[in-house]
Amino acid sequence: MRSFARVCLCGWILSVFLLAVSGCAAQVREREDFRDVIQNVQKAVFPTLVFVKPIKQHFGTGQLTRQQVLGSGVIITPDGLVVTNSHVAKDSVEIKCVLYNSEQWPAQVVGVDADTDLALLRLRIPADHPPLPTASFGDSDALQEGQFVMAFGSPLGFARSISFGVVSCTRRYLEIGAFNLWIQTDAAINPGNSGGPLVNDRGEVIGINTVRAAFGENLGFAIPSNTVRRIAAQLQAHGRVDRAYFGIQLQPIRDFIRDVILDYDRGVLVGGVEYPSPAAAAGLKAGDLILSCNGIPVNGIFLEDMPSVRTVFADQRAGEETALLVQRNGETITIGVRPTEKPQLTTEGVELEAWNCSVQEISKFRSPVLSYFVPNGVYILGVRKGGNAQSSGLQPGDILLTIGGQPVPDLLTLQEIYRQSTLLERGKRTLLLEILRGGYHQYLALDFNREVKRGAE
Amino acid sequence: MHVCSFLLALTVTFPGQMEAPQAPEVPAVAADPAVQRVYDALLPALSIVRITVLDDPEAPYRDRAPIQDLYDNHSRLRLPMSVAGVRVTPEGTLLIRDSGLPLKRYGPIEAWDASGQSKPMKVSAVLENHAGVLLEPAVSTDARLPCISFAPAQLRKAEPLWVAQPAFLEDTLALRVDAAATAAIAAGVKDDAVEMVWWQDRHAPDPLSAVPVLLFNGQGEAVGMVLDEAAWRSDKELNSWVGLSILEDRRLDTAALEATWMRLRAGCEGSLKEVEVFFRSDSRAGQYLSAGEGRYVLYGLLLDAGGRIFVPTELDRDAIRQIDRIVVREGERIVEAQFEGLFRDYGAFLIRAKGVAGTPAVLPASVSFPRGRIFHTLSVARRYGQRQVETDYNRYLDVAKGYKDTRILSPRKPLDVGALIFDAEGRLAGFYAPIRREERDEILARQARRQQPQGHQRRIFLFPEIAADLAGPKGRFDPVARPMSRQEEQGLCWLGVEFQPMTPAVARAMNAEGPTRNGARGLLVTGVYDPSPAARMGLRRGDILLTLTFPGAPGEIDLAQPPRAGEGGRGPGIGGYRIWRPRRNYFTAILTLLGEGRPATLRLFSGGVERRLDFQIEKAPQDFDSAPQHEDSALGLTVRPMTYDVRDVLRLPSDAPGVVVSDVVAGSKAAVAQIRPYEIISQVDGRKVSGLKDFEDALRAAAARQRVELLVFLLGQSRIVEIDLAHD
Repeated sequence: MRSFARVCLCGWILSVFLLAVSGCAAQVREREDFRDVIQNVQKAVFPTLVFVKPIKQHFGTGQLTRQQVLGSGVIITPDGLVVTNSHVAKDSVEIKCVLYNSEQWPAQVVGVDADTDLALLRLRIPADHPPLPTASFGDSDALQEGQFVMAFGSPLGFARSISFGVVSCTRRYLEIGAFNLWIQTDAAINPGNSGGPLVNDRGEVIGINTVRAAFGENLGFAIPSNTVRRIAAQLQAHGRVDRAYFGIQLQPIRDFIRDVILDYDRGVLVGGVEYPSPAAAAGLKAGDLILSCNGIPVNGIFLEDMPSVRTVFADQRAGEETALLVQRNGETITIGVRPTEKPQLTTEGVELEAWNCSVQEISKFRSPVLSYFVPNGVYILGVRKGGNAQSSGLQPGDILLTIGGQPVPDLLTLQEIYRQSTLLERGKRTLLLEILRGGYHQYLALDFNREVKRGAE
Repeated sequence: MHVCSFLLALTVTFPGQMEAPQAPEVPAVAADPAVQRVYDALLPALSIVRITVLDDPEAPYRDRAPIQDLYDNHSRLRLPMSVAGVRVTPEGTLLIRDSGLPLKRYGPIEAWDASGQSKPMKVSAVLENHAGVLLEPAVSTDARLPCISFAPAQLRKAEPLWVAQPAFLEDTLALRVDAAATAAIAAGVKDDAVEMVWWQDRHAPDPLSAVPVLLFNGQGEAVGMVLDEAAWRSDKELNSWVGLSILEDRRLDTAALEATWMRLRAGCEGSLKEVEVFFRSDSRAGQYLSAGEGRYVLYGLLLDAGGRIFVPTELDRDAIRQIDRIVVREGERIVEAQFEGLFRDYGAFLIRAKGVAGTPAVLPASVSFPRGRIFHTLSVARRYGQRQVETDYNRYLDVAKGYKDTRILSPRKPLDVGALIFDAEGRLAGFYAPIRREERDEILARQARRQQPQGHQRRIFLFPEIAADLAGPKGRFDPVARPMSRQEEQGLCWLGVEFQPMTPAVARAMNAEGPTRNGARGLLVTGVYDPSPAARMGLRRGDILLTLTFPGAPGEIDLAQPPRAGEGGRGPGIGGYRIWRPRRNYFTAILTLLGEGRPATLRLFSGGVERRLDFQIEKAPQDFDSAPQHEDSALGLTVRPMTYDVRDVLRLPSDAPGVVVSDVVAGSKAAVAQIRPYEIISQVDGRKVSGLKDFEDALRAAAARQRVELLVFLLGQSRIVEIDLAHD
């Protein structure tokens, strides 16, 4: 007994001593082996890095244009799910991905969320392929300014590159990020880094690099990993992210950029109500202070609070009555709003070859100014240089109101009118167009007797 | 011997080479004894005179007239002006054409005669009734020199005339004798003047000497000397060329001229008043006209003890409408003046400045202002901070019958608008001003698709001509030319349409090539405001306005707006960009010119059919540019009410509240709050504002609380703006 107890005690003391030693040794290791830390991180993360090369198709120039785009991504499941940016992967007809070990696999888009600029791809690997190395997400909420981070990606097409920096700001608000805040870093982020991981010193992905400031140096922005995790899960499950649309233009109570500072200490301000919209139908007014949404308190005090407030609204179920607790003129009232579903905007546009232009349907989510004038209609997306539409005076942004006297309420009608117009005999191919430009009507004669084939811009 | 020798070569040309209206049969001339007599008579009396032109140090600072460039070329290149002179007295006085060179620019003068000798000369006198200048030898001698003698000029139609013209070829003088087409004598000009019009020799090196010098009759006797572009004679014994009358003409020596001018200046001292015009701060005229001197100063004549001043001016109707204030300056003293009216037919206006000191000018009831006689001019200008008075003599040339059957009297030497005209004796006779014909000219100019009407023609107006106007001026004023506020000036008459100019392609697509003359005319209606005269008349989008007529028009006026370069337009953005077009456009400008209440007829093409619309021109409701505005200096922004044009393009209902921001002062509280021009403020402190008064009241209430909350919106987006009004 005495010997066992002595062994136990010795063992216990020894283990404590060892832990302590190991603890001290660990601290000593971190300080002395920081270079090893970086080595460990890159060894862990590089195998999960993907060089994403989509071929995009767009109609902005008035004709079908295919364009090679370069970006980055990171593998998050062993069977080949890759997270990247939406602006890298959307509108693509073909995606090739090159892994760190030089394997090249095609990929398909699983889902895209333009509002948070995230996309999920699936590598088309054969069934017998060994499991791919995956990256793990860290907790982006635990980040501190000044922490070391590394950005992995393919800046300017230089695949498999690392850049190194610190977290400059953990909660950055940018106008382009309506539903998320951003991690600002001074690690070099260049075009091509989009979609690649921002990694902490433990090798965990704490952000997806997305944006850099146009002017200025060392100002890069990444989507926090907690957001990425949530969105990726929704994309994996449904292939899209469902959001509710209320039609409220929210405003923080203290906006230091516009110098608008009000007295409230909770809630979020309604700056405006879109018309028509569910909120307008429910009687919500500019100036109201929303205190809670479906029981969830919403506090939009500062600009940085706005993404999470907007997410609360967006997460409501479309079609279901949502109770908003509203403070108006000193009184607190409840307003029930039935939000609609925010549509997924996936069509890239339609090319009208004979007319040498491309058109797109008007949606208030894509072109709010055009939809103000014409809520349902079609507008010119692009005009081919030197083509028939351009010579006739059509410009991008023109809304087509009538063609030859026929109204154009949607894309289908326009396509039918276009099809009929191609049946006209050569020499008689002119149409009288009535367009809306700058708020004013205008008549144009579209002459498409010439045949201008697709060509270089 | 003088180095420069010359020879007289005799060349004769045949009549076929001249541009006479009717060339008669003239016999072969080589053996004509008359030509030989011409040669013998003229050669001894002819001189080449070389005048050195002196610089005018103020030339770069004056308004330019083309003749000044000619003088300046001579002075700058040190190239003496060569003219032909004829000896008219045995003592050696030479007569040359008065080319318009100011007396003070005559430098050293040398004259060569047939002997090859040169003599220095000086200007001695100016002829009163003929355009000639007399030069006398600088050093008088007792020599008796051969001079010209003239025979009486009894000309009959078809009588042969010879013209002797010196032609200068470097140092050689050639005498060219031509047979003048006698058919150039044209009889029957309206005021019984017998006119002979000579053409200018286009090949002469110096246009000043391009006119034939001497006229000889068929016998070879000198009968006249052409001193002017037009050789004329009237039955009142006035003429421009008859030799004998030239010799007998009264001579005004330079001392006499100077004395007259001194008298004129002294005489005007009391009645010439300095008038300063201030333009509205927002006006285009103000920026343009005052830019040079920083002030816009005119000079006018005091007419009576009540302070009425008559001011000739170049200011047109647009500029007058932008006047803010008029004062009369007397040294340090300033007297406020009220604008009475701008005369309809000529560029002059009347003001009344009570309390102004001075002697009223005595306006003549009648004036004898015969053609060819010298007259004097006096013009005052403000230059280099001082009043500068210039006097000169001048002559006029009766050019043509002009607008409203008036005779256009154009002076030979350039004059400034506002110059006062005195007759040969020094009595006040008239003034120099532009003929105003804005109303008709503008419409006609548009009809002819010119961008702007041509500059107004100027002429001498004699006071007796306008005596009736001065006695009872009210009916003679232009009713729309008077100082106005911005709102009134920008106020328009309208039909209520937005339109685009017609083009051939659109005309073809609309099957309207016939009525629109292949797209050369026509305004295609792209929008109809409601309510408006156009809406009431049933005009619709797609109608084409073809022509406009009104009583008194020269015919149907084609409506055709010249296409403007760069008419494309950016798309509307959010804030800072003005989406609505100005309501003053080609068509509303014509309607406004015609005026409210005027009947008019439109011819339009609608639904494939032409039809006529008779209507009465109506005043337009206020638009953004003509609306009143309210400036809030605490916020640093200016707002205007929401007018129909703004409402229409923004698709807002007629009862939509709001005022439109028209200007934001840089750095002000509004600018910091990022309120931009052309945004709309629809609520102040939670209350809707529907006009300027609402806005003013709401801000006054907010000032008490030192804070104001605005709801700002544009194109469907709105936001709340909170501004702290406490002074920092």
